[in-house]
Amino acid sequence: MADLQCINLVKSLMNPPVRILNDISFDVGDGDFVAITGKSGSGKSTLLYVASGLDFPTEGRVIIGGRDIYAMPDYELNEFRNARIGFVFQFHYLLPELTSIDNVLMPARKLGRERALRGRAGELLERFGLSHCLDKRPAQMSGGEQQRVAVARALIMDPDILFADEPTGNLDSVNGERIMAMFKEINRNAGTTIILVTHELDYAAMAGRQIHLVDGRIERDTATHVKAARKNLNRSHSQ
Amino acid sequence: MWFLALKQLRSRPSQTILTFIGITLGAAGYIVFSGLMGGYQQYMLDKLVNNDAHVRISPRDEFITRETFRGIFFPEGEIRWLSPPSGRVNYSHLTNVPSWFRRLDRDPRVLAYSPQIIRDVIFTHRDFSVPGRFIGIDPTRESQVTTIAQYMTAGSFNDVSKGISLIIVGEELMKKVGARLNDTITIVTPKGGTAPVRIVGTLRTGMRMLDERIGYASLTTVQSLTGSPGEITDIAVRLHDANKARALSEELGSGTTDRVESWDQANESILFVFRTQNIVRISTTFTIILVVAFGIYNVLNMSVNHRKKEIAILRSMGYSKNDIILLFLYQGIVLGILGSAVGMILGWAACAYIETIPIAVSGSRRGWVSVNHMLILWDAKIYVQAFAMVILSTIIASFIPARAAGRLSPLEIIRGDV
Repeated sequence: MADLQCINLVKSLMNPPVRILNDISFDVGDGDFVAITGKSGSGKSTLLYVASGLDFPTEGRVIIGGRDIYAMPDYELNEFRNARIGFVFQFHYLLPELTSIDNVLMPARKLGRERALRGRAGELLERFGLSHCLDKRPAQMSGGEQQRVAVARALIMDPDILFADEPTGNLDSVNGERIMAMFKEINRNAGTTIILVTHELDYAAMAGRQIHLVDGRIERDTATHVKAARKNLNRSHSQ
Repeated sequence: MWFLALKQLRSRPSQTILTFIGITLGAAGYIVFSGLMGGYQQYMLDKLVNNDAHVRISPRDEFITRETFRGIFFPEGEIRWLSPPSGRVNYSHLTNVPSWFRRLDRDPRVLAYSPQIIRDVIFTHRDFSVPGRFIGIDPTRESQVTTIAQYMTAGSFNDVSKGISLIIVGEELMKKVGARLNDTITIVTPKGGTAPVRIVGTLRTGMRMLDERIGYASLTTVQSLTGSPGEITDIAVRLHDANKARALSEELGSGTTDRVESWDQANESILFVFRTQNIVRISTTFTIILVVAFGIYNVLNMSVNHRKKEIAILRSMGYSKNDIILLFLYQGIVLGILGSAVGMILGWAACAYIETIPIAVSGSRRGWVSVNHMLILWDAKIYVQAFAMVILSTIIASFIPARAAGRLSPLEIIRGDV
């Protein structure tokens, strides 16, 4: 259901005229864990934003679960972001007025389901070792704790795909590894597709598949051969 | 979005409270200012409407000019006057009083009417003399039309009809001629006749113009002492509804040589002052509301700038533009409703206090302008208006920054930060 297809994505800026993404195509299957790597300026964050519906491509299409997300009307895109997608950014972006449990429940509040999902929010926080932080505000927590709350918030609606943009960028290695371990566990247990942008090769190596960008092009995709193999397999099945 | 809106308001208490105070003072200011202005105007209007006749019928002043004779002598020819005609037609009294009475009796709008004879005379006592107006009335009918009987300070208004040559004078007038109650003073008419009258009562309206000049007597007393038997110069009319005075006066006035004037025509200059006051009031209260609106705008605008990141994350988790607009609009509306509610209570309390402030006009305790404290208009309409205006301006003032917040693109904020 949640497979993601990027087809001939181009993103160019007018001023100065730069092609940030240059004809990028790739598929991500349901339950994959993909790391997008590259130097800064290689276009990896832009690719994530375009693939997740936060930014519009200049050309090309993004199809998630069989639907072109840039052909959706606004309200549908909002619903889609709410229920099917989770985001984790480099900065936690927690709302400073709210306790961590209320922060986690913010996406649920959009649909008026904050009561129904309160238990799940508590479980998520507990699973991430935050049971002592339920009623703390972001300012009372450490950077690692804040980021873990942000991950719990991204997961509260049980999304099909989790997009993460340098989620470990502001963290020390202990907390960074902890986040990565959480991602692996989520990917394995809940089957959530994860697309992770990182410049740290160690973390990228933890993903099942790596896409390396150089100057807005895919230079290397570890799954190309896998995909080819899968296509062959499909073909042989259908015959 | 109520949940987050309230949380955000609570998270910045000093700003919230300052804005709240601004709105409160704005609403209270509107109420106090409107109440003060309205109180004074209502009082004056009430006096204008109730103290004197609603409609007054009196002789028209008609002057003789060249135009008077145009077309009468030698209609075809051109007339050159050696000495142009001048002078005045003698309409010193109403010509057809019985027909006026019949018309007024028939008219269902008329509550009561009172015929009067008003003559200019000189009141003298020993060596002192004061010019004044000698007014002949029927005390019962006069009391039905005007409130003059309420201002008696000695004697009873009906006493004038208990005999001939009895008079009720203004207190100031009595002082000026050096007389006391029950003294006999002399009336000198323009024709040179003199007649003694006995003071049986005094009155004080609080209006110097009246208190120094008027003397009331019965119709027959004035008619006989001034040598104008059977004459009536004025008919004062009171209506059931004072608002119909103008229409009635226009109706009665057409096709007659007499002058018919309604209370609002007679007091046009005062009503003009009221209109000017209203413009001052409206512009002042508008300024107050404008300042309040700018306060709200400022605070919410700062709040939006402060919360760009939070707006971005809300958008990325599926909240729509309208949700973001509502988030800030709700904050403005909460402040507006609470602020104007407290402002109304505060304004009411301030009005109640102001009403007790003494503004004693020296010595006039029972007169026309007999107020000894500030006047406040207690009208629910003022409160409804204050509430509506504050809420409306709050909504507008918060919608502008809210819309700006809704337009923010989540990506630009996130990218600008990372």
